[in-house]
Amino acid sequence: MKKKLVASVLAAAMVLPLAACGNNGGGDSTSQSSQSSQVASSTAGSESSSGGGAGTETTEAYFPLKDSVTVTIAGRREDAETAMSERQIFKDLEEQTNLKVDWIDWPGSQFGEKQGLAFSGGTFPDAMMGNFILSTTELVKKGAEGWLMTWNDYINEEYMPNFYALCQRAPGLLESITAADGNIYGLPQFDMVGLSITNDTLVINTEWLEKVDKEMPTTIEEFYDVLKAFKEAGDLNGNGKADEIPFTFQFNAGNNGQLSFMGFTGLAYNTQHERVCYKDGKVVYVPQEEEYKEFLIYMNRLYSEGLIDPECFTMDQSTYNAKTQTPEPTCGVISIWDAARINAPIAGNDPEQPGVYQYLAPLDGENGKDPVWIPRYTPYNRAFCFVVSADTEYKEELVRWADLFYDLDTSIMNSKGVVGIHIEEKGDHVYEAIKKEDGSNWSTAEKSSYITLDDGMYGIAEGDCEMITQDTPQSKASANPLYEPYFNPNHVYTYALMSEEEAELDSLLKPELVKYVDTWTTDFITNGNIEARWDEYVNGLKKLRVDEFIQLYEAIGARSSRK
Amino acid sequence: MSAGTAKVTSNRIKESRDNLLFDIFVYTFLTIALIVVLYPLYFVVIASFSDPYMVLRGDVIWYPKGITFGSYEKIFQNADIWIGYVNSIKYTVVGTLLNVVLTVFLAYPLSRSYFCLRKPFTLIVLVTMYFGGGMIPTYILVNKLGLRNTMGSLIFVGAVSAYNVIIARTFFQSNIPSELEEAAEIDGCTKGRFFFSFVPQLSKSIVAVLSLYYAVGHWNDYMKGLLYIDKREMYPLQLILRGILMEGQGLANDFADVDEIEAKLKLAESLKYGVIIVAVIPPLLLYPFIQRYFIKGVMIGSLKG
Amino acid sequence: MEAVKKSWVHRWKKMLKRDFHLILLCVPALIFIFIFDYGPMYGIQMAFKDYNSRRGIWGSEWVGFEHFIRFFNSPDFWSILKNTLWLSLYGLLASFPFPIFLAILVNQVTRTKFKKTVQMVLYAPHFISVVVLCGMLNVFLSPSTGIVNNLLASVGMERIFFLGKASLFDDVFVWSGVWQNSGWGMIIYLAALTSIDPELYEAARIDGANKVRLILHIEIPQILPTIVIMLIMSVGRFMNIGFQKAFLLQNTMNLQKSEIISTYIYRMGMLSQQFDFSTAVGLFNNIVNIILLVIVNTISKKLNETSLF
Repeated sequence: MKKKLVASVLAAAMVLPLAACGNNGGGDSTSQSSQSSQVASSTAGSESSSGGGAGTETTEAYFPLKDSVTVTIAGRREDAETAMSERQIFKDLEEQTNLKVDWIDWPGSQFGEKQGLAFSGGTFPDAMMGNFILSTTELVKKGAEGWLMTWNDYINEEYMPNFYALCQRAPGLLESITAADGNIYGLPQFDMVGLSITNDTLVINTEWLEKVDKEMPTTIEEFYDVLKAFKEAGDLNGNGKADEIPFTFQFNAGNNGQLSFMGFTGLAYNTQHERVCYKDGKVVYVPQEEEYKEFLIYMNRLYSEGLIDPECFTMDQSTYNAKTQTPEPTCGVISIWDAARINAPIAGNDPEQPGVYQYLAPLDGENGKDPVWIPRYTPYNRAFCFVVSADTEYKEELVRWADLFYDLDTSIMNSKGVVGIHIEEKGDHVYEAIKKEDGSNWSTAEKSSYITLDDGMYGIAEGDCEMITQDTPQSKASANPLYEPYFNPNHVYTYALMSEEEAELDSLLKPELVKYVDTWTTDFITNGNIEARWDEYVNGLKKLRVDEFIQLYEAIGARSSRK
Repeated sequence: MSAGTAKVTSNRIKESRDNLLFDIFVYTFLTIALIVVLYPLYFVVIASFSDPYMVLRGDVIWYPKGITFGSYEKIFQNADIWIGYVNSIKYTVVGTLLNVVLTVFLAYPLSRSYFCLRKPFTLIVLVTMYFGGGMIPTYILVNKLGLRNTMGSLIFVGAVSAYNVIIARTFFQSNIPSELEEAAEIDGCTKGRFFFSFVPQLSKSIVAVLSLYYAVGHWNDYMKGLLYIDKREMYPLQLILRGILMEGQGLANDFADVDEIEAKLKLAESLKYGVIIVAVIPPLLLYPFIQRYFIKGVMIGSLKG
Repeated sequence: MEAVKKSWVHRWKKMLKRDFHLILLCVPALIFIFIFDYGPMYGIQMAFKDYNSRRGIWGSEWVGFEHFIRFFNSPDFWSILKNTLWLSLYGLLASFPFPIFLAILVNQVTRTKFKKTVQMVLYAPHFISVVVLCGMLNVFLSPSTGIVNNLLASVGMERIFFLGKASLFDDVFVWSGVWQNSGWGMIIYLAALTSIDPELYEAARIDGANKVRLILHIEIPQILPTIVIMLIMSVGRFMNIGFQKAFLLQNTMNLQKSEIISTYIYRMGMLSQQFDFSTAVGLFNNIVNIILLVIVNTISKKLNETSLF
């Protein structure tokens, strides 16, 4: 019985885009509950589209196809999720559109090899779908090689009214998905609502602070004093073992690393491996700057006095989680995504209260420069999710089929959940997540039997909707205001699609630079002797063509300037 | 007692004392080896029942802590795992049979020093140990032959391992010398009859070794399954287990719940131990059958009579 | 002239006829080898081409030795090559004797239950995946919480940061391999030992040989051909160090010593669909392997009768 309800709810949800396309997006107040009348009216193609192209059919009149067509689509999905052919949404869609899909199943654990074979082994499908279906560099490369259909001529009100409308609501979108050769090779997947704006945060054990009788540090010297106090205080967690670690982080990790911490020097690099930053208006490679040296000297000082966890260089993500999320706190200061996960295992933790570990604001470097913190920015083109073969006979069918997913309500349903089952509508496009009957959260595996989730296509622009979340003093959301004032104004954005030559140069130089800097940095922090060897280190960078690298990112940074 | 017998007796005593010392050495050494190897194996078992974070923190030493059956639940929840077991058993049995027959049939002639084509054939085999087309051309071939999604792709590709052929050849060279053949011929036995009647008796231990090597190769393989099989109902066990294990390795995603990713990562930590246990049981059960053939001197002795 | 030629052909015909049954035996295996091993071999040319997936292997452009030059010109090439060679050599020297030694000892055991148990236990680690092995190494060797270091500390010794010291990487890498594979490697030698003619033992015992002498004078010589062939083949696999294990045990502290050829090309993003480059590197590895193989094989031929070819 429940399944039938779901199916009809889905049918109703699916019907809306067919009926509403052609009208400008959001604000459509059609209710979700009435069903049969909607189905009837849509398939009859009653509503005429506004502003439609002259001559050719509108999407609503296009589907269902008079002659059924079968296409092969390779679908990437997580191993635990339902196979594409089993998902309710695709079954419904097939009925509605008469476009049959012969699914090729690409579970995540096999994806790399299976996709490689599709390109090289001569078994290329009509289309490929899924989160990160191709990386941005692969997209450009395969596009240039002639594998992929270009979308340029289709992104207009005539063929893709939903996507076109989305482009109006998301300025910069079209530009960000256009390759350097002017072609658009794939469709993006993005949800700009409720994104976090920080990566790593620092949390400090306030109970330990009390025990050593210190205040929250605000400068790096105070920070040093606090760490030293933690170390010399003896058995702070009362378990009889000398296992206290003053400061821990996971070296070079995006969310748990030392990257933002460096900001007290006034300079910090973006969180990818590019490691560039603007300084006095020009792009610089941070690891060769004076500020980086200042950072290394400070870190070496901490390390040589045993204030930094030596395993920071060797721990993997799981080991780090195990170390920091324990009922018996062993760390004084931790770099982490949010405080909630650190506090959760501690006995007596009340999620509504600040908790034992609390957020530590960026420290003043006492060097006359404003400390900075690395912002988290999500570009539109971060994940491409749909590409069509250049050799397929069914270009128009696939284009119009893809467009159905970019209707706002469909996008919301596919990324967040079915209204009434996974989410509840509290207001006009304002939603809140619902729990299951037993009080637990819906898992992606469970949701996947209905909707596409990240294995499909969706686009939700800023302001399109709102998700209500519970903010507590320990959650990420309450950390954001603490760090926001420090967001690095000189952050270099690097999301613009690179041309093939640029990508080749980047893949040639970047890994070597990363490896070089990482090994030297580790050496500097653990063994010191920085001043004496600094020139040798910088010379090595020059030999690795760091200047060309900087030039490359000067160009990319300019193209990616945040609007 | 005469001087002669006294010497013999004292030699005998010395001999048995030497032997005793040696025996003590053997048993001691092997017992130490046993313990050194056993502890980590034991650890895998208890880790599979423990809270993964406690394992990572080094809290789990002699017995499981934070006991959880989560990983086994997860593994067996997946109905496909039984399909995987059955499939793998099928592929292993059929595949090994094919492998062993082909290998023995090829290695025996190569071991006959009088074989006129010995050198060229050996070279043909050795070349394949070092030169190969790689993943893509092999895939294209399998595709062209229509073997995708068939058991054939799993057992025909790599049906003859050059390494194993060499091992078998060496064995035949040492243990079935030409003198034996000549002696049989004198008694009126044709070369063909020699091969089919005598050789099987004499090669029990090498056949046991080959079977073990090939069987384990099939059992542990996930790569061939990944490349050539798309239908879930034909997946070998390792492919399914790998899927379960890698569930937690989804891409870091802005839009994904960081909590959910971490939960998956944590589950993967405990899963990885459970997966080993589940996969290793059949090979462990197989071994005693193979062990039987490593009994001293049964073959040749019986033949001489 | 005619007569000589005729007799050569005649001789061959005679040999083929005589060995016909042997040839027949070889045919099935050879068919498989030709189809599935030689069939795809044209793929090797990728090492000399700029692979374009759209044009396929045949259609891609020739670039000669470009990939090899790029590989040799990499900044750390020599140190990476040195690391690879050293790990191989150390690994070979450390891991070769143990399976033989163990096989000889196990063969001596008469108490069946113990014998069977020891074999099973020693054989089991082979089945532990690389991921789990490295996971365990990380847990056991942790400087703060690992049992190895806890043991060291309890007897008053200093804790050792095994995975953080570059100089210890090779030791951890090699000895964990010995632990894992000695029991598996023992199998072939056990098989060889059990095939020794019991009459040889009898004869020696009558002459008054004790157990140790039996081993030294009967067993080892008898299994020597097997040992030699296994050694030659191990040398022939010299460059094939598994990528996964080194990759999992690497970190920025030991990278100087832990970066080997296979992890290097993976790190440089070269593995992802850059099949031409990885084919070139694979070819390089194999050529080195073959050279070493030929050298060792020739030496072996001179020293004794056993050789690979």
